[in-house]
Amino acid sequence: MKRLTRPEAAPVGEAARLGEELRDARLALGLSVEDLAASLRIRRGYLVALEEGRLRDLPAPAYALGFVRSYARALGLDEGEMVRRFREVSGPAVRRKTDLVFPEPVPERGVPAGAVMLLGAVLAVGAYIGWYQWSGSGDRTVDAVPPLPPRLEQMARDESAPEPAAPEASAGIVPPPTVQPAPSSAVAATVPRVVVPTPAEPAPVPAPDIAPPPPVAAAPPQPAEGRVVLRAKADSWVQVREGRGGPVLVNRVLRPGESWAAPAKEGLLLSTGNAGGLEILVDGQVVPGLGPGRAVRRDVPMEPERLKAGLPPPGAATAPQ
Amino acid sequence: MFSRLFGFLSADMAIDLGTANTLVYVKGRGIVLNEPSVVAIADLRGRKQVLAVGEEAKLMLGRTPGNIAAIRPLRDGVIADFEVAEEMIKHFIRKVHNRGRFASPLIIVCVPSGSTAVERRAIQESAESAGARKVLLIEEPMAAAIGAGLPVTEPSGSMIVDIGGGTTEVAVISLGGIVYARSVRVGGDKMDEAIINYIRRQFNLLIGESSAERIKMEIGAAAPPDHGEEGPLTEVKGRDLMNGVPREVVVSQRQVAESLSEPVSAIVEAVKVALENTPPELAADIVDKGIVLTGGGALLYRLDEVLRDSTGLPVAVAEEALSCVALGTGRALEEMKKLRQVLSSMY
Repeated sequence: MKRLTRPEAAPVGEAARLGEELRDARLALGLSVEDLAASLRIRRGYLVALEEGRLRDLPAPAYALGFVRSYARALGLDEGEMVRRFREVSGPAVRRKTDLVFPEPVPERGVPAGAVMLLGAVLAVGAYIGWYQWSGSGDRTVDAVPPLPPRLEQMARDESAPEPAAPEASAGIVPPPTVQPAPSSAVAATVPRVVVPTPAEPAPVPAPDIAPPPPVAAAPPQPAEGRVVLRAKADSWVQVREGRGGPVLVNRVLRPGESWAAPAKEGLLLSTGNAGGLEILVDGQVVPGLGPGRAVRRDVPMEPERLKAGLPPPGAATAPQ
Repeated sequence: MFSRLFGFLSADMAIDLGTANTLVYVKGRGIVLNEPSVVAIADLRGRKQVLAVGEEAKLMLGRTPGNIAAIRPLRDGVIADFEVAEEMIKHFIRKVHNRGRFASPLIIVCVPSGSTAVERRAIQESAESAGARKVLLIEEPMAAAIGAGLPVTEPSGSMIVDIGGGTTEVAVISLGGIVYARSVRVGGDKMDEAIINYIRRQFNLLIGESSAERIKMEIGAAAPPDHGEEGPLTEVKGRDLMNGVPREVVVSQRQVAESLSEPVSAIVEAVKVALENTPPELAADIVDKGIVLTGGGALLYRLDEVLRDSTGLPVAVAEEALSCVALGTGRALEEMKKLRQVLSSMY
């Protein structure tokens, strides 16, 4: 049986004095401990412990108080008074409530579920933050496009691709200082697209977005390029289409100094809003312009030979080829 | 959703819904209410209205005109009149909250260990419809043992005998659970009845329940006085059955003890049966420490001696025997997290 663990802080002397009082009362009645144990049915050991003031050896307070009460009554003492004094001498252990600790099942081995869930949540948040950081850093489209192989870059720099070797040549806008991502869908159709950087601008280049460019393996070195280059002297709006009603290859305003190399295609038509501000170069040589001033020219065929020969007068510009 | 909000405005309560008395323990305040479980209902032109609850209503018991009924909604520890019990709980909730309108407390109510699921559900539902936010139940013997300060969670048997108004609960508790429990529907009420019957037989005098209860509390004893003495006397008034006029007789303790022998022996019998059914190891613990009596019936003079002699075990009456159940229920409320094992709900 578990004994009450009770701090012995309470005055032991007091408890012993109370016990002595009980013993004196018992002896005065001429009774032995055995007699009282038999009549009260309380074990002899407990009664002796009570008389000797050994509070440790008594059972839980609720029972001990009952013993004191019964004993005092049997001896003809004032039971209420004795109980009150016993409470006092036994110290806080009796006054305090019995500590109730219910037996709990031993937790399953391993990490508690709460910790697992917390760890999972932390991991998930961490993974999300990591992904967000990674995906957010830099320009994703640029990252997604593999860098231009050094060989091609070299070639592009040499500008050693004057004659279109492949039937399909590429076109590219040579941007002014600001890097601009590939001119999207309109040009996306042209398969190998290489940008000719201006000498001053060896900076990052938008490269073919369809796999590593086939020229490496298939077409012999030079990426095809048209012979016609448009160069702006002043702000001029330029639109180039593949034939009437065909897809628009470019539709923008060229800034002064900016140039646009036309792809090597048949039947390209040029429209501009500032004929005087636009220079046309064929094979690197300036050909006669489209006309003076801020005239609007529409659907000028971009055939190198005809451009070299000089343009038809403005009125005939719209004539069919 | 609002119940949570109102929960802040309400003081959680533990209720010892007894057949004779209802005690209310409020969290942090202790026992604040101890009133008889009586409700007086007036019938005002077909509409029933609560006239009085508790002490006031008890004075009306047996003295009511036709349009008033003083009712004890509990019989044998369980609800006999659902609506009246609900009104009573409602009244107590209001009283505790100073008539606050939005009180919606958590309530722990104790139920006899021998009650059926239907009876428990009735108690829980009446407390819920009285405005409780949540209702939890605790078994009476467990509450009594906790209230008496028994070491119920230790691996050592404790026997508790709770003699209430309607039932006597005998239970053996170990490791925080009830190992064996037996509930007999004998308690203070049966003792009163026994006294009424005895006086009618012996004196041809019909007395009321309140008078019988008074006799029991004044000179009632479980065993007759020693050496053939008559013991203290008291007078009792009632109606003569022969000629119908009011009359007064004097009864002695010996006579009352004689009249109480039947319910007392029923209690002794219940304790003996419980001891017979106790596993041997726990029985050994009980031999050492003995039995603890709680409840109003435990205060019956010499009942502990009778039990001691008939069982051969030390018997002690708990301190504050009348409020042990309420204190234990209150402790379950205060330490709800720790004692959640002993609380249950029917839903």
